Amino acid sequence: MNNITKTASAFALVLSLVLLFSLSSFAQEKMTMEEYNAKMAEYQKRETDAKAELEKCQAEIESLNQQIAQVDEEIGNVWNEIYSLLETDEDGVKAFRSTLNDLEAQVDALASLSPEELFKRRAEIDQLEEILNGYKQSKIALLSEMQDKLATVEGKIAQLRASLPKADYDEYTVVKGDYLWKISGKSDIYDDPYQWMRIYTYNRDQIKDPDLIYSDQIFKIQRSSADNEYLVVKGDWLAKIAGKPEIYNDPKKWAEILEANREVIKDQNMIYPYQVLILPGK
Amino acid sequence: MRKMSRAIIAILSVAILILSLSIGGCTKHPNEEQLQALEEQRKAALAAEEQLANCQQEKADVGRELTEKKQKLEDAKSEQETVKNRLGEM
Repeated sequence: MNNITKTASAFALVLSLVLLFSLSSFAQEKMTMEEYNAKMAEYQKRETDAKAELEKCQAEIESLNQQIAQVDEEIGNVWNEIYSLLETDEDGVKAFRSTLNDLEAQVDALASLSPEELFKRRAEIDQLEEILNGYKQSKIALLSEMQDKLATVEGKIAQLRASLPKADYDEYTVVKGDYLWKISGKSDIYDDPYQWMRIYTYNRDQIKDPDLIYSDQIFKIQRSSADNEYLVVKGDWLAKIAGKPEIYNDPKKWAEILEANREVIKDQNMIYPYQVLILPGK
Repeated sequence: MRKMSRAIIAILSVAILILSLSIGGCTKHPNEEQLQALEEQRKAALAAEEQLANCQQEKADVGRELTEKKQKLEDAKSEQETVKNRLGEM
């Protein structure tokens, strides 16, 4: 009985201690009313302050938007005065801009042609330059934007002229290491090595063997065919060429072509694309 | 002696028990409703601050737009002078 009483007392003591620690630690985790009130006051202040600042901010935005509208109006007025000076309006300027863009596109299209094609269409360069000079006379061309565009197009036309072959043929001086295939492949020649036959047959007076060319030889680079020349295309044969209306309009005259081109046609049944044939009597 | 030690243990237990209850029970804590109100207030504060941040961002954007417009106005005025000069040279 004595032992039971002792054990019960000890158990009560331990239980009380455990209860003391658990309650005191729980009390520490749970928010007190003082803390609650402080937090609540803090959040209320933050909300109030933010709302006050927000109101101020919105008023400032409103003011800025009003200023933007005012500046917009001023910009519009200045531009209307400019249009008035130029005796046009916004649509007139837009149309002029569009016209200049079209002109630039036409110049770009010519710039993308091969030197040979460009030479054929060289008259268009003059026409475009004439149109450009006409645009320069417009008052709208006094706008800085248009001056810049006109200068750009003018520069492109000057580049076109610089790249335009000077005659029906250009000249090329052979350097050490050259061969016909290599020359033909150069970008300023034909940009196509397969046209080596064209250099060979166009310079038949200088080239007796296409595998033998020499430094300092000056070859003519054909840019367009003269009336008495024909550039063979794939699918041609002599009778077909002779039969063409713009050639002889008579297939039987193929023998005349053969005779005039004996140096470059070894077999009457074998002609090749890019051969330049002489057309006798034309 | 034994009786005495038993009495001491009993007194100690009771004292600790009373102390525990007084620590846990005397402090006042917010109830569930109050905690809910605090959470709502916290959310309201955060929402207002977020609105303010957005507004300040918008103000900065509008400010930049105004600066650009002012520059455009200056450019237009400059263009106007240039055109006048070019017209005079024509």
